[in-house]
Amino acid sequence: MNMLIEDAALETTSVACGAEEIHAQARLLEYMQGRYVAFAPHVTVGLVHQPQLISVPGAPNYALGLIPWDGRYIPLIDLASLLHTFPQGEIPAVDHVLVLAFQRAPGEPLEHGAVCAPYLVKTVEVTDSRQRALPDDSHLWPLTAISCFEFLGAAVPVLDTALVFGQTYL
Amino acid sequence: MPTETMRGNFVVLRAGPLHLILPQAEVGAAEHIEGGLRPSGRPGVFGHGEGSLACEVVAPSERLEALEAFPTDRFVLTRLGTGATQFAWNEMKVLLDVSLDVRTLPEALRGAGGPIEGFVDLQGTIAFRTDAQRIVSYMALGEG
Repeated sequence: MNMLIEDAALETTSVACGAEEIHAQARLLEYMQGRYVAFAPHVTVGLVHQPQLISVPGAPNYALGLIPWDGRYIPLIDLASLLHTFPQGEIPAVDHVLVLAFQRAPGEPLEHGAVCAPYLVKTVEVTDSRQRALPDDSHLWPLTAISCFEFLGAAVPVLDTALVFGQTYL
Repeated sequence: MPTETMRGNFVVLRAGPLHLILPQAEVGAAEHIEGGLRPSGRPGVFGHGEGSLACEVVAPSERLEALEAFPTDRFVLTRLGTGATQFAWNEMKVLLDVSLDVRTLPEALRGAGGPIEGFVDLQGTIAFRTDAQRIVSYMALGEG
């Protein structure tokens, strides 16, 4: 079952700001308990519930496999495994996944990938005054994030989907 | 997603939920497990047959790792390439004189030394394109 982000988001959170601050929206994903990343709204395509997962021999441990979507097959990545651990052993059960679009370079064809979405995806408003440095709990933030903002006291990296899906991190 | 077309004779091998598609010339004739298997002393490798027919047997998992517990539903044995090891599968299917669209494996799924080149959609079933050398090398069976 595919769901639009607009249907799934239960709330939009506004951060108090001054009158001259510029607002922007971001899709907030809690990819593991208490840890967040964000994506630009235009790259978030939809949520899929319990997609069929096809494991791929030789794929990196954090890349769970292929899932069918919109008549094609796209890669599914577990951000918790990518950013923090590379676990061996059983593949975690997949519930919801967030489908994302990416473009390797301007003018290149649009491609798609998905990340595990174990918790609800929210839409939040962000302002420049909330910018902060990347957290230091993963060596991959500088390689995958284009900015970072503060949300409810936590640092939220904004991921570049082309960097997430366009290469492997071994 | 980039595609290319491959034509000819191919074999589809199934190991649990994993489907592989290889050129027919790289897959030996199918045999069936007769009698029991015996431990070889090496994890995931089993002995089969007697005398001049004795061989080693490996049952690949869906991740192409040698299963240490031999699945009871693997009856089909094939050799791959020039190797002597027999591989145990659930099914083997031959596709003769076909033309198949092979889709490139997404970059995010290409691990270093991975055995998969791409995949084909066989009427809703995904089969991964590979070859005998890649499988043997990836499973570190030490034969070419």
